[in-house]
Amino acid sequence: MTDDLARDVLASLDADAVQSCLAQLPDDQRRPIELAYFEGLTHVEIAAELGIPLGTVKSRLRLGLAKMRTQLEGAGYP
Amino acid sequence: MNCEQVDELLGAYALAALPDDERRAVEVHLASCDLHEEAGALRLTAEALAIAPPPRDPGPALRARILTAIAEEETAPRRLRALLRPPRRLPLPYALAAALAIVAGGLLAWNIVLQADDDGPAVLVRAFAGELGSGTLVVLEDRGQVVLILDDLPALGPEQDYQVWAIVDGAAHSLGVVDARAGGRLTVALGADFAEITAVAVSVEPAGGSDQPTTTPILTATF
Repeated sequence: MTDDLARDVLASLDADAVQSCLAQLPDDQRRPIELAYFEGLTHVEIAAELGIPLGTVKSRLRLGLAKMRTQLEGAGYP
Repeated sequence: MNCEQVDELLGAYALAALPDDERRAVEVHLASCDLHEEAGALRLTAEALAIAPPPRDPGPALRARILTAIAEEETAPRRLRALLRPPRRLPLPYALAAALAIVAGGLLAWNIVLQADDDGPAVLVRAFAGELGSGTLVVLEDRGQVVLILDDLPALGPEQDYQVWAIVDGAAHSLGVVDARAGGRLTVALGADFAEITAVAVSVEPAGGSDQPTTTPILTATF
């Protein structure tokens, strides 16, 4: 029971940290990531959805993820 | 596909946003080229995006502190109360003050534990219970992080949500809306400055939440 509670607490903190990192991204990087991960769109579909060039989608996905990575590492996540 | 082309696609690859042919081309390249450390890092980050991420191994030290704090809170917490400042009484708006008094009368348990040692963060656990459900606040003090766990609250219909409130200087500030459709245990991470907060309350509100509490809180923890 208490073990479950500890696990839930840590899982909740993890979810909060990830969501907070995502929320801190500039919109032009956050939106493509959300469309890819949560909506399951491909990069071509994201480009069409947002009306931006494919090359821009590729670089924003990579930059946004890299920025989240840096923030999560800064918050002590492996 | 050369290294430069692969690098360009690493974000989309990590997020599974590549069509099959491009994904395979990236995989073939990565299998035989060790110049792309970024690929693994981005993949990990993408996996962290799962709405409910898999439980992370908390590390033995933090895990032990949380378990100890919870265990003590359940057995003999009162001797530790002196470590914390006593609850303060602040002027609350009339309706809310009355609501808190009603809830306080229904409290079954109100316990505090402060668990700290030299090599890690203090973990504060506060359990509270009302006529409906019960709650536990777990505060990781040096991280400025707080998790509220709610148990045994009745599931709500589509027209209602539970809303969590922080009471600061007598005013209620929303800490977020909890989707209770599923019932069972609900956990909410609160990004709040708990030095300023004198109470945390949970009320039933119209779906989507309210600007201010519109019903008597069903659970309240006073600091």
